[in-house]
Amino acid sequence: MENKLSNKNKNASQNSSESMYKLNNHYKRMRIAKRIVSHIVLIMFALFAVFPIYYVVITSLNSIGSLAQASLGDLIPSSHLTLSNYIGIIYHHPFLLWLKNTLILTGVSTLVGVLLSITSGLALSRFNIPMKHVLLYMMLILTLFPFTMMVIPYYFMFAHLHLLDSYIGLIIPYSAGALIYSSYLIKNYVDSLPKDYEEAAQMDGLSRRSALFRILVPMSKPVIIFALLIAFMGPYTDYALAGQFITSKSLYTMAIGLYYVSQGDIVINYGTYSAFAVLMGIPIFILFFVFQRYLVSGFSLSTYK
Amino acid sequence: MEKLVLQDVVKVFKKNVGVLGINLEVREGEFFVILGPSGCGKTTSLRMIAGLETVDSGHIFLDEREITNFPPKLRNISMVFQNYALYPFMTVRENIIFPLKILKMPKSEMEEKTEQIAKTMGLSDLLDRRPGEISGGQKQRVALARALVREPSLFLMDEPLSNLDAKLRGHMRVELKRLQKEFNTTTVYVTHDQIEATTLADRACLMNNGRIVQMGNPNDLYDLPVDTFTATFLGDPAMNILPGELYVEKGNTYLKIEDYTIKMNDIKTEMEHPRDVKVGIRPEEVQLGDDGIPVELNLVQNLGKSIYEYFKTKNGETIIRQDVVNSRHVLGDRSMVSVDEKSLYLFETNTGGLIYRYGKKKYQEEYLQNAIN
Repeated sequence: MENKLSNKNKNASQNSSESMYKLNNHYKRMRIAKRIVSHIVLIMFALFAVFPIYYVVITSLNSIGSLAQASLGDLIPSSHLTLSNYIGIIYHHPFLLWLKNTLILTGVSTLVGVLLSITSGLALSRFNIPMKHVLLYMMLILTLFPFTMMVIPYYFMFAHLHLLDSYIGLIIPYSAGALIYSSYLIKNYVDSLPKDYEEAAQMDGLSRRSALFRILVPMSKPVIIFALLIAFMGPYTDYALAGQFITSKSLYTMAIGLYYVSQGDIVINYGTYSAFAVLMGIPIFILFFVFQRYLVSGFSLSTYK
Repeated sequence: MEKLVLQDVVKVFKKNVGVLGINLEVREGEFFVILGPSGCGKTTSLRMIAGLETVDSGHIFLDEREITNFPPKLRNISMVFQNYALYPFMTVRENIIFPLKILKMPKSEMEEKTEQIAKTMGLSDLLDRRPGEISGGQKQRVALARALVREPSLFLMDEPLSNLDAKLRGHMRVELKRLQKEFNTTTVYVTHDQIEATTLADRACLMNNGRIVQMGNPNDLYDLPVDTFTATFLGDPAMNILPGELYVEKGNTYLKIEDYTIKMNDIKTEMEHPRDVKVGIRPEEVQLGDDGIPVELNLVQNLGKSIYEYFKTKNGETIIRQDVVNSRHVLGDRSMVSVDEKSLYLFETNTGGLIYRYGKKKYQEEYLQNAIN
């Protein structure tokens, strides 16, 4: 009797261990299948993202006159590849002047914009401002309006101030461009830093203001670099505002230059256009590559652990 | 000499209790501990001393100078924070030297002091690492070094050991005491941990709901608690508190706990009516005997070096008893808790104030006088 019972138990346990084994294998297969499906989907989306870049690069190396002459075959690299588009831009146009103009405008407005967003971000995070949450909502709403919407009002404003067709006339609106968004970003980041750090600095002998600047600013490095990149991107690629404000050729920025050189007599010169786009993209590419490390932590708002 | 004096210091918060008028005096070279449960106002008090929190009313004096409204940087007070607050972008050396840099000390002197304190703290090998690369205990020592390197007038610590694991905490307690004696810096230390208070403090005060409940050396707080709050806060496990009744019969005073009555030879009184009291017995004083309060063993907690036995009385009160590990008691065992008048405390039912402790007449006389009237 006892023997029988124990046999039964044994069978049952064997059965269950077999089925558990099957179940376990099933989950293993499922996991692999899920991984394959998700990779297929991701690769598809990646193709959509990468194709335009490839298209621009390959077009810049071809010497096709117009879109009408282009064929699918041009997408495959062949022996027809040439640097003539690049050479044309650099030697037959004042490319370096445009680059200099762009870098001055972008550099100054990035610095001004980020400095202001650091101070306002710190203030929004650390000071008790009356109606603070109302202010924050207002700021968020303001970021929803597109920059191009402001071109015409800005034009009137700066025309009255006689600041059109000058560096300063562009630097002011450019600095303000990413300011609100960056302040908000910096505020959120600083919110996540414990107050102990600046309090410790005050106990170590700093005033409150120096504690904020000497301790919190270095600690917010990732988000500040992120803000720098955002502030850089806007003015660097802007055509809407610069196209309206700038009339002297000596003040052309790269975006205006891009438009200028790619306008042929009758058709748009796509080869030149693409080559210019690649040239403009290189500095951005380098910047993002160098600061990649900070971008991730700046964007995810992760702080020191 | 009084180093630090707080006079009727008040801080009002909208949501929390804040600090409702505290007075304390910390003597030169003393290790003073502010003890209390969370939200009692102990950290707020410390922050007001530091200058990180404004004072709503009252006065703070340091070295006989009023500093109530001074900004932190002018107080010459240093502080160690609970999470150490080491600047993560600086190396250990830069962290320690930072307060000296602010003082604009000559470079050679700064470096000498840094090296010296690093040596005292056992940090010499870590000076070029960043806070992210060292352990919790090492961070703690860096924070101490940074606070002590400029030889502050007063040294504040806000629960500095609570982020360490139990073993390291025990080690750092010893270390802290040693350092404080070595530097002889007056120290105010905030904690909710009674063991830290009793091991570290020269004197301590216990705070509750924004007020100081009791002040004295840690042994006094333990031996002679002024009320049930202090009595139950100090001691682990907490003191057992049972309802009891005090009455006089033929000139003798008796204490009745549930069905058990003992004669209180130490209390001489003429009160007419029986009084409800709270009876306190420390778990380490609970004795089992042939005569006493009938109880049943309900739960046993094994702590390795000793055990806690949770007894239940007939009325559902719990009595905790500390016993040796190899005690033979089994769950469900019935026994008697005998009560000795020398080991028990009596507290007033309403206010919780101490009425009786063997050999301390002052309390009972005051109370019983009131009871008669």
